[in-house]
Amino acid sequence: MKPKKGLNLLKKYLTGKPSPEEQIQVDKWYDSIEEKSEEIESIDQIKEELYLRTWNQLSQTSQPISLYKKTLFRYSIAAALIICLGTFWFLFQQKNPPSTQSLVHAAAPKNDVAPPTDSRAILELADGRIIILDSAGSGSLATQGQAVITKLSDDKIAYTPLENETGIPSFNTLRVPKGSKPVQLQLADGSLVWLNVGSSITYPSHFVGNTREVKMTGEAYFEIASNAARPFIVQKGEMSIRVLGTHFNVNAYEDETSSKITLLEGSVEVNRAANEKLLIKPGQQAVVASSAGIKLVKSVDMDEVMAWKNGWFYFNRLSLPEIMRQLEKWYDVEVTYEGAKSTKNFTGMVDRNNQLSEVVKLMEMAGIKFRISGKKIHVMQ
Amino acid sequence: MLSCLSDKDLLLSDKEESAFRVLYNRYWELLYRKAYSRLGNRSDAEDITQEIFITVWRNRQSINPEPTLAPYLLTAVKYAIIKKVYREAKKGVTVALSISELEHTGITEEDILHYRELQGALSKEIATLPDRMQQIYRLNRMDHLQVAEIATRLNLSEQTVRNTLSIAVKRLREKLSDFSAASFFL
Repeated sequence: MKPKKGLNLLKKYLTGKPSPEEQIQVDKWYDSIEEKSEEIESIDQIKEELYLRTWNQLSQTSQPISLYKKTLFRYSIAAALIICLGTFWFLFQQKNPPSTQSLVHAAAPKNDVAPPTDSRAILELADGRIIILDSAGSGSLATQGQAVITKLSDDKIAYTPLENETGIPSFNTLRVPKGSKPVQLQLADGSLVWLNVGSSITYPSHFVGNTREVKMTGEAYFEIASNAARPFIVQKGEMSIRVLGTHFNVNAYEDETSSKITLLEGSVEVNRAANEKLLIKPGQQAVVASSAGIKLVKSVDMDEVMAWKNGWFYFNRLSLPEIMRQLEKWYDVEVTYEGAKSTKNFTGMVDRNNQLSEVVKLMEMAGIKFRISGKKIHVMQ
Repeated sequence: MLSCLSDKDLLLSDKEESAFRVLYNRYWELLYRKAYSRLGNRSDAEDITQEIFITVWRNRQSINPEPTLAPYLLTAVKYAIIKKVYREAKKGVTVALSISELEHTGITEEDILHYRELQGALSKEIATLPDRMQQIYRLNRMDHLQVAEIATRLNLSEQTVRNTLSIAVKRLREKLSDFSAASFFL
């Protein structure tokens, strides 16, 4: 005997005309079976076979894909022309770094801005929850996908995968706002990321598939856990960096004209758009500019590149705006220019734990005048 | 790098094959498990999963993937499963999600209340949307017009219609997040 009532009900449901009661009844019935989370036998095989079947069907009937894409950029061979009206060197090192105590308690005098004393990183979870790192207690923060997030200290968090590393990962974003100290993040594969001020990184709670992929903005230093079978890929706009296991720094702030990828160990491949790539060796830097493709710099001052992570400002023949952009992020201040901008270049090294006025004082020795008022620096000329 | 992209970016990506692969990796197991647990056999579950991915991909220009594709996929898989149950039952075949169980599923006052609350809350929230947004939302969701048809009818670009729809759905979802089943109705 056929269940006539049931059949009629489903027919109505499927043709889109159920009454509210009927709709509720079918929904309730559908939800009465819960998916079991138990292992499905040979699931990886099913996954691959089904994928091939599905893609084959799609590709047989869809439009042919065009084989060439517009590629209009080419390498810029000309070396950058450096206009340098005057180079000033200033060096300011504190031989005895101030104790943390004096830093915390020395209130900034009026019209001065103190350096960041803590990390104010913000963690955005996949469900929209937001965790402010320094106001959360140490220990386990949350579970995302198949990983547990642990706060190790005010500037360090770690993702630890659970035993069962399958399932859909959750995507989380870690942001370090202006005026915050850098933060260290340990990803589920054991890779370490140091995130500089004014930067963010988006990553899965655990890595699935053949690659490990993250997205970033700003500046970050990576120490990638070696895994030859699963390349690690950092993506920023149309640029991507592909590595197997290595140490490198990426400087890709939105307000800079180019992105710089500097390699400390191992080897990395820098890609821009579809078909432009460059392999770099330790000590080398790839400079990616939206207008000029990828350029190789064969010898780089590593101290300059890594200064931020080591607690320094290291300006190597930088223009005034380039320096001011770094100060804006670190001290969370706004810079305004009164009169024409200086075209001089500056070179120097300053401890990042200085008050803003100390940094500014050094630059004043090079002939630039500044005025600090509240969270604003006016550059007078 | 594609695996970091949102569902929307994947649907619009020009690296079609890799984008599809990432979407597939993201959702195939969710769909497969839904179907497998209710139909109880591998080949039906595979067929349904395949069918849904093909539909999604072929209609990728017109479906709304914001904030994610999950609500769309869950609705699609539910519909496909119920259709399969119906067809099997007509042949006299019973699967795990049994049709006699359907006849024995009673609804309570509470079920109705919850549904009414949701419907009421939904129409109330729709009414708070700006006029043009409301009109586009209703044409799409209630009159089942495609984006292209709405664009022609209202003399707007398809992109404008798509953007408006995605903003409307986002707003409704945010406001109705208390109702767990809301995503099915939007």
